[in-house]
Amino acid sequence: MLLKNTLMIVLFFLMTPNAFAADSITAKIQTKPGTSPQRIVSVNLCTDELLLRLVSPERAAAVTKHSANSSISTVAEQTTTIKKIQGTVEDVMSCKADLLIGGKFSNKQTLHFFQYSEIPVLIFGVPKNFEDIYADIQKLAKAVGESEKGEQIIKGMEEDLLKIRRDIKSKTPKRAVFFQSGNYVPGSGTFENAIMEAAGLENIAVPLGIKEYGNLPLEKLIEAKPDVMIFAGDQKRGTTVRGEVLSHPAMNQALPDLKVVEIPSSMLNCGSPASIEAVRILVRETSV
Amino acid sequence: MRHPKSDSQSRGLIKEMSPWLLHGSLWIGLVTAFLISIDVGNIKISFLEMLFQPAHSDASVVFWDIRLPRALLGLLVGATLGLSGAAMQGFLRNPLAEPGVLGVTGGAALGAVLVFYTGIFSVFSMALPLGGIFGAFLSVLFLYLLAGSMSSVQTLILAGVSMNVIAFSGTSLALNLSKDPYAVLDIVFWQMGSLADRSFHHVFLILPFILIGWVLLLWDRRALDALSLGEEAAASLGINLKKMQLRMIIGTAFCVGAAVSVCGSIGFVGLVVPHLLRPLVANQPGKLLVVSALGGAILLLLSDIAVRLIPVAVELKLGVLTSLVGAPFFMILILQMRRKLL
Repeated sequence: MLLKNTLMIVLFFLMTPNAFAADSITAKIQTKPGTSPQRIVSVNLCTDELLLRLVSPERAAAVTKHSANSSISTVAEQTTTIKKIQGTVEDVMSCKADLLIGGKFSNKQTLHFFQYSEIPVLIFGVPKNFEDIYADIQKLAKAVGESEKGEQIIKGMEEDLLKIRRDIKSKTPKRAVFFQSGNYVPGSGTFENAIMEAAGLENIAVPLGIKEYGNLPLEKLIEAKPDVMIFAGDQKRGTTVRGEVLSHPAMNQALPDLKVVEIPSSMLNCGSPASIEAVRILVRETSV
Repeated sequence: MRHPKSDSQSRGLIKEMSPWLLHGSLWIGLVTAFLISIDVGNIKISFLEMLFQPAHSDASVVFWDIRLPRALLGLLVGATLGLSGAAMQGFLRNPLAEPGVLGVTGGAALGAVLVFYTGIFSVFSMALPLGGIFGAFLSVLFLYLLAGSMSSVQTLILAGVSMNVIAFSGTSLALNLSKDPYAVLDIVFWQMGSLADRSFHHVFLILPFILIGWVLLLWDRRALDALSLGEEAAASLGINLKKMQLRMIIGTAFCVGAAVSVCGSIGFVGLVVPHLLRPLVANQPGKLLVVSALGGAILLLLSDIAVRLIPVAVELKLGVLTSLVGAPFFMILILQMRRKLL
């Protein structure tokens, strides 16, 4: 382990211009133990979102450029004054970060690289249910020294969910499918499934045996006869061959009474307080 | 001297078949494959249910909106690939010629991609096959200009390789530049092709162009036979090679371009089918055309049945299967040619 660390540090400096070496030293000096990080860099859209809900924008040294795009991000307004980066190693180096956060599946190399540096790195997985989101919020809140605010957010979400549950009128759950281009549907153990459950819907992919994400052929979909079909954002209007199935004539023919609900993808990309809004839309659109 | 004096004849294993028997068995094969294709799917429905259940019932929707258009597209596209492969091999007198290998399907995919992802398609759907046809036309033109009908086997194949590379990088670039973040995932479709979840809309969209292409390619049936004696011999028999070449180019562009624009590139059908059937028509390129069209349709329908029966999480792309069968075939052909050259 020591050998590996030394090797990484050697590599780190070999790959770094001299000017940066000085930068990294100043960064280290600025971060005294015990104080909460003030130059937090996030290299993932979802950690951008959680971060900006927990800390003031001044404490974020950089976020991804995606978070400024309001069609996929729920915190676009807060990012106006923050530096936007792609999330490469060089991007992060130029930010003098004192905390680096990111997701398991994006900018992996960057996170890996800085795990061997002085900068603390925090990596978040993909939430599969609301409990996972609460845990992520707690984890980040603790790291940035905002545990109290974190608990507040969690409490708010829990209350919202309870209130939504009380408002669900229909006794028998409607059968729903979350349809995506390429016939990909989320089954059990997915965040989409948690949202559907929270909205009092029955996900038809679960009894079909789909775990996580699976392929639901058009014929099987027609046979399953869902009452509700949920789309993420503008996927249905998108121009892809994979997306063409979403407007296949067979769908209108066989399922004329199908209720189509569209949820903005910004509410689905990440597990965050915005996910509650997705549940709300589902309840509102399906309880008619 | 009839060229190509096929290998199987030297092997002496297969003799010419009576035309009636050959056409009869191919038609029976085609009808059988067509019916099996309609019977195969993700859910089990009998033919009786499909035909006699009321409209809007599962069975009738699955039959009319999913399986029938799929089988019809398999027939149209398969026949197109078989026919154009046979026509190219005959006209270029090159046993390795085939729309996929020579980059014609690749060019068609590029043309279709440019129309599809720029949104022109959603305004004017006829633009999709037209884009495919234009792309196919440019690549056939490029091939004939670069390699010409006098060129060696190697020159033509290399021209095809370069065409394929250009088309693939163009397609990838176009998909990467597309505003839709999911567009990149479509590369597999355009490269490997699929008949899954197409509808009658697609059938009607390409049908007129496919038929025009077929007519143009079948026009020169007799001339192809004459051409197998050499260009001078053909010219002395009063065949206008320039006009014939033009019909070949436009015919190939029309049917291949339209087919690719809704089903993606499906490779090697046009290579395998004419080779398998050539000995049965005594190596006459003219007679091979219709036979190859029938054979191509059968092969594609069977491949499409297979992709639905192979139990994998996500249905295989059609081109994966045809390439798995076709590529080794291609290698064998190259080995045979090398042996001859040595």
